[in-house]
Amino acid sequence: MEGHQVQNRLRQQHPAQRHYTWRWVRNEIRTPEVQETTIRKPPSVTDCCLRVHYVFTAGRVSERVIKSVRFSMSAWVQQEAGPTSSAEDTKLEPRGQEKKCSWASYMTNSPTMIVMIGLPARGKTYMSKKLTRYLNWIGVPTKVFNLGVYRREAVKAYKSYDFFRHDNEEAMKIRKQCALVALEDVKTYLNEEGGQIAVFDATNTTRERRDLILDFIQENAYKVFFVESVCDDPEVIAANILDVKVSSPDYPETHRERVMDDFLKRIECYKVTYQPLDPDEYDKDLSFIKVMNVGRRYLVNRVQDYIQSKIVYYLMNIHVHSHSIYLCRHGESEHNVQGRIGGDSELSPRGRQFASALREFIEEHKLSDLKVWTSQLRRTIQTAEELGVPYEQWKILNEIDAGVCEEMTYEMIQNTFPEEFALRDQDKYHYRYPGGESYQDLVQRLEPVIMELERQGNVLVICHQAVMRCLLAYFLDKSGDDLPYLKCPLHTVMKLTPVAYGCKVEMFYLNVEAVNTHRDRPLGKVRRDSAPLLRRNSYTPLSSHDQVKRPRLYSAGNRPWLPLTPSPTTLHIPDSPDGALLLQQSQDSLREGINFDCPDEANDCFRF
Amino acid sequence: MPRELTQNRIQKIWIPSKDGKPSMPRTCPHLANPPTVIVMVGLPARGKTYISRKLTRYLNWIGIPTKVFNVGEYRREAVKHYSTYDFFKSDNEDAVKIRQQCALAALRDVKTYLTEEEGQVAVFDATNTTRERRDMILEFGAVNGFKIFFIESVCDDPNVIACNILEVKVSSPDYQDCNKTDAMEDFKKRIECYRINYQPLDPDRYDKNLSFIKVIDVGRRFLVNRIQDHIQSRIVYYLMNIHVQPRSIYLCRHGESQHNLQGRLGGDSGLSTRGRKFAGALAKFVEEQNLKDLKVWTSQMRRSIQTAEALNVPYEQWKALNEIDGGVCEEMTYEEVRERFPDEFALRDQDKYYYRYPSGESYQDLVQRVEPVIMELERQENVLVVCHQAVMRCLLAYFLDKSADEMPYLKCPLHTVLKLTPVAYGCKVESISLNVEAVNTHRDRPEELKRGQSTLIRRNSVTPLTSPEPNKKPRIEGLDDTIVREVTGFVGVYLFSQSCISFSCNLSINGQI
Repeated sequence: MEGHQVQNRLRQQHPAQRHYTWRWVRNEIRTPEVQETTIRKPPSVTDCCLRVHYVFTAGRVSERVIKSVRFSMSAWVQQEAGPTSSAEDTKLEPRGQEKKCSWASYMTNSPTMIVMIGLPARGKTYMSKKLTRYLNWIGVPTKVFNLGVYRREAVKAYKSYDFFRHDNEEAMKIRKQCALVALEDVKTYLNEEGGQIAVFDATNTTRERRDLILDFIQENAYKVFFVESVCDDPEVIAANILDVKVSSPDYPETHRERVMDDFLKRIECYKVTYQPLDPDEYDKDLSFIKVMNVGRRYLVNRVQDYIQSKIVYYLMNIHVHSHSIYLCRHGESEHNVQGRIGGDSELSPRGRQFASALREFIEEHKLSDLKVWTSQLRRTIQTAEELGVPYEQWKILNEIDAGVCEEMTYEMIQNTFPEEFALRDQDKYHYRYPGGESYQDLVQRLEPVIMELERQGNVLVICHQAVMRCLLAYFLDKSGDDLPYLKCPLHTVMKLTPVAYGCKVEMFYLNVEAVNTHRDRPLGKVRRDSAPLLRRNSYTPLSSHDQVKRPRLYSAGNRPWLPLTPSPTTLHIPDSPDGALLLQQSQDSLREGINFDCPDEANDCFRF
Repeated sequence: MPRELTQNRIQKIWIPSKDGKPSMPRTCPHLANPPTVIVMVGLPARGKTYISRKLTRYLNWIGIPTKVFNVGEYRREAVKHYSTYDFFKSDNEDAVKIRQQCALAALRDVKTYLTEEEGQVAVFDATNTTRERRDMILEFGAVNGFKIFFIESVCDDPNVIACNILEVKVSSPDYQDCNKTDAMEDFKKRIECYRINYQPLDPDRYDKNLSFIKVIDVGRRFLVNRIQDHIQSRIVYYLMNIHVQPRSIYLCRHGESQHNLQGRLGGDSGLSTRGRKFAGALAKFVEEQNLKDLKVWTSQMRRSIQTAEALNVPYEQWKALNEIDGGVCEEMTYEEVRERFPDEFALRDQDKYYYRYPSGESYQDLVQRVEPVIMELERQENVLVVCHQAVMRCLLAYFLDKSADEMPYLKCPLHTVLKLTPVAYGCKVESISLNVEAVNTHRDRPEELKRGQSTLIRRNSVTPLTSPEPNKKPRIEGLDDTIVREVTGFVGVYLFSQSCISFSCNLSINGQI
C-alpha cells in the first residue's frame, strides 16, 4: 500500500495542483458513484469461469465474447490481486478536477496569440478561420477576433476608402480604439473564458501597431506568433476581392466594379504605411511564418513550441485549389442489419447494391483523378472493390473501437453494461469504451487524414459512422457536443466543396434502402452547460457576437457614437452567406427530430 | 466484378484476389509515388551529413526505405590518401575530374537503389554548391522520373562551424595521421575552396521553381519553397522539429506490475510490491541526475502512471504511449495464447514486426501510433518516458536505427533505465539497472527462426549490420583500379545485451567530399 500512501500525501500537500493528484483515467468522464458501483459488483469468479467455459467449448470462438470475458476477468484479477484494487483511490478521487481537454490542449501550456499581418485581400481572414476551425477540432479552444467586425460595430455606415487613409486622423483614432477593445476581449478570452489561442485578424501592417501588440503580450505573459500573408499576384487578389469582399457588409447594394475599385483604393491606403516583417533585422527575434503567394513559399522563423509547430505544419499543407471531398460510409453490412456495432462483417445484399450505385455515381460525376481511401475493415474494402479503381487502405480510418462492446447490439450493451451505457449518453464525445476508444481519441487518430485531405485534390473517403462524423465535424466546424450526433446515414454520399470561408455540403442519397444506424441524443440529456471551455466554434455568430462588447468600448472613454444596443443587422457577419445558408439547410435536414436549438438561435443567425 | 477478399494471416489485412491470385493492395498509404532524391546543398561543416543521416533514420523508421549516398566516401574510395586542401581547389583539374566521376558513380548507385532495390528515397549527401552540379542532378532526375527535393543548410555562425569541425571532421579518416589543430586549419581552407564557387539556392529567380527547404542557422529560420507531396511535407515538418541542443532522453518501463508477475500480457493492472520499490528507486535516480526542466511522460495505463506518481514531479499522459493492443490475447499468459490460438502464436513468431493480434495491433501499427511522440521528443530537451515493453522497443529502434526485424526482439528489461544522448551522427546509450529485482518479460526469437530471412521492406540507414556500405568500388569508372582500398571502418562496440552497461553505436566516421 505504499503507493497509496504516497499518493495521499501528495494530494494533501498539493491539493490545488492538478499535476500532483492521481489522474488515472480510463473513461475520462466517470464519476465517483459509478466507480463505486463497479467495484461493489465485480463479476464473481464462478461467473467468469462459466463464461470462459461456454466460450471455449462453443467451437467457433467469437472475438466478441472473449473480449467481454477479458473485461470481467480483468476486474476479477484485480480484485484477487488485492493491493491494487482501485477502491480507495476512487473514493478519494477528486473527479471534478479532471482535465477533460485533448492532448493538443495539454501541450499548449501558455496562451498564445496569433497575429495576422498583411494588406487587405491577402486571405488573412481565410487563414484565420480555417486555422481556428482546425485548432478547435484538435481540441485547442481558439477564437478569432476580427477587427473589421469591431470597426463596423463602431462606425455603422461605411462610405468609402477615405476612412482608411492614414491621414484621416479621426478615423485613425477610431481604428486604434477598436484594436484596443479587441485586445481587451482577447485578454478576457484567454484569462477568464478558458481560451488557449486567440487569432487577432487585422492588417497589423505597421510596426507601431505590432509593437503595441507585443507590449500587450508581454504584460499578460502570452506567447505570440505572427502569420504574415504576402501576395503580389494581381489575379489572386482580384479573385479574393470578388469572392468575399464584394459581399461584405461594407458594400451593401453597390456595383461590383465600384466595389472592386473602392477596395483596391483601400488597399493602396494600407500600402503607404505597410512595413512587412523583417526577418533579418527588426523582427529577427520574433516567431513567425510568412506565407508567400498563397503557399508557394514559406519563411518560418523561430518556432517556439508544440502548437506553433503544428500551426506551421497545417498552414504549409492547406491549399486553395478548388477540390471536392466525397464522404460516405461502407454499404450496409451484415452487422448493420442485425443492429450490432463494430466488428468486421461483410456487406449485406443491399450493401452490395449500394457499392454498384456508388460506381455509377462516380461515373456520372466524371470525377477525374479521384483518389479513393478506405479503412482496413472488410465492409469498406468490399465497397471500394466494386468501383474498379485503385484505392488505398488506411488503418486509421477504421471505425471507433468499441472495446468490450464490439459486436453487441445497443440492447445487449444496455443489459450487460448498464453503467457504461448511461455514461456514454452523459457525454458521448469524451466517453471511452472500456478497452476501446472515445470520439476524442478518434479525432486525434484521424488528424493525419485531415492533413492529407487538405493536401489532396478530389478524394472519396469510404469510412464508418463515427469516423465520418469526426471528419464532417472538421469541415463543418461542429463542436464536440454536436459531433457524435451528426447524421451520417448509410448509402448517402456527402460532397464537400470549400467556398469562401466555409464549406458547401451536398447530399446524394443513392436510392438503395438501408437500416438506420443513428441513435439520437437522449431526450432530456441536452447538455448545454457541458463544455464551455472545450470547443468553441470559430465562426459561430454566437461567438462572433461576443466579440463586440460595446459597453466596454464605451467605458474606454469614447465619444458616444457607439450604438448601445446591437441591431439585428450587426449580427449578420459576412461569413460567406452562401455557404452558410446551404449548409444550414442540409444540416437542418440532417437533424430532423433533434432539438439542438438554444435560445440564442432565435436571433435568426447562421449556425456556423 | 469485385474480387474475393482473403485475409492476410500475419497482418490481418483484407487482400482482394482474382482467380486465386492475391493482388497486394497498397496498404499503409505511401502517397510518395515516384521515388524522391533528396539533394543536400551547403558548404562543408554545415551539418549536411548530420541532417542526411538523421532524416534517413526517421524515414526508414516510419517505413519508407531510404539510403544515404555520401559522395565523400566515394571520393575517399577513389583517392586513398588525402594530403591537403589543395585537392579541393577549383583549379586542380585532375581533382575536379575525379570528384565529378565520384558524383556520377554515386548517382548511378542512386538510380540502382531507386529502380532496382525498392528504395523510395535516396539522400544525395554532397556539397552540391554549384548550379552546374545541381542542374546535372535535375537532369538526372528528369531522365529517370525521380522527384528532386533540395535541402540547403546555411550557417554563418563561426562557433557552430568550429564545433562541427571539431566534433566530426577532425576525426575523419582524411585526417587520421594529423593533429587536431592542423586538421582544423586544413578543413577551414577546404571550406574556403568551396566558398569561391558557392551559389546558394536563389528563391527569387534562378531556383524559384524548385522544391526546397533552406535551413538557416541550425533551425532558427526556414525557407520552404513549393512543397510537392506528402513525403516532402513530412520531411519539412521533421526538419523543423529537430534541434541540436545537448540533452538526454531517458526511457524506462513502468515498475513490475501484477500482470508481469503472473506472466500475463497487456491489461491494466497496478504495480507489484517490487514495482513500487522501483518507482521509489526511479525517484531517487531522477533526483541524482539533477536535471533541469525534466519532462516526464507516461501512457494512460495505470502501471506507468503509478510509477510516475512516485517521482513527485509533474507529468503528462499520452494515450499514444499505451502498450501494444494484444486484442483477443490481452491478459493471457503465453501458455494460454499457445493453447487457445496455436496458429496465431506460430504466426507471430514468423514475423513479429508485421504480425497483428486479432482485433489488436502489430509493431508496425505501433510505429505509426508513436510517431507523434518521436516528433515531440525531437522538439523537447530532457525527457523521461515511462512506457511499456513494445512501445519502448519502437522508440529505441528509432534512436538506434534498428531494423524492423530486430525491433521486436530488442531487450528492454524491467527496472532498467536507458539514457540516450545524441553524439555526432548517432546516439550514446547507457543502460542503468536500478537494482530492484523483477521478472523477465523478454521472449527470445525462437531458435529455429533466428537466422530466417529478414524482411526487406525496411532498411536501415546507418546500422552497419543491416545497411550495406554505399561504396561500390568497381563502379568508379575511368579511374585507376589499383587505388582501391578498404572501406572506412566504423568505430563502436555493437552490443545490446542485458548485462552490458554502456555502449555506443553509430559512430561511423565519415567526412565530407
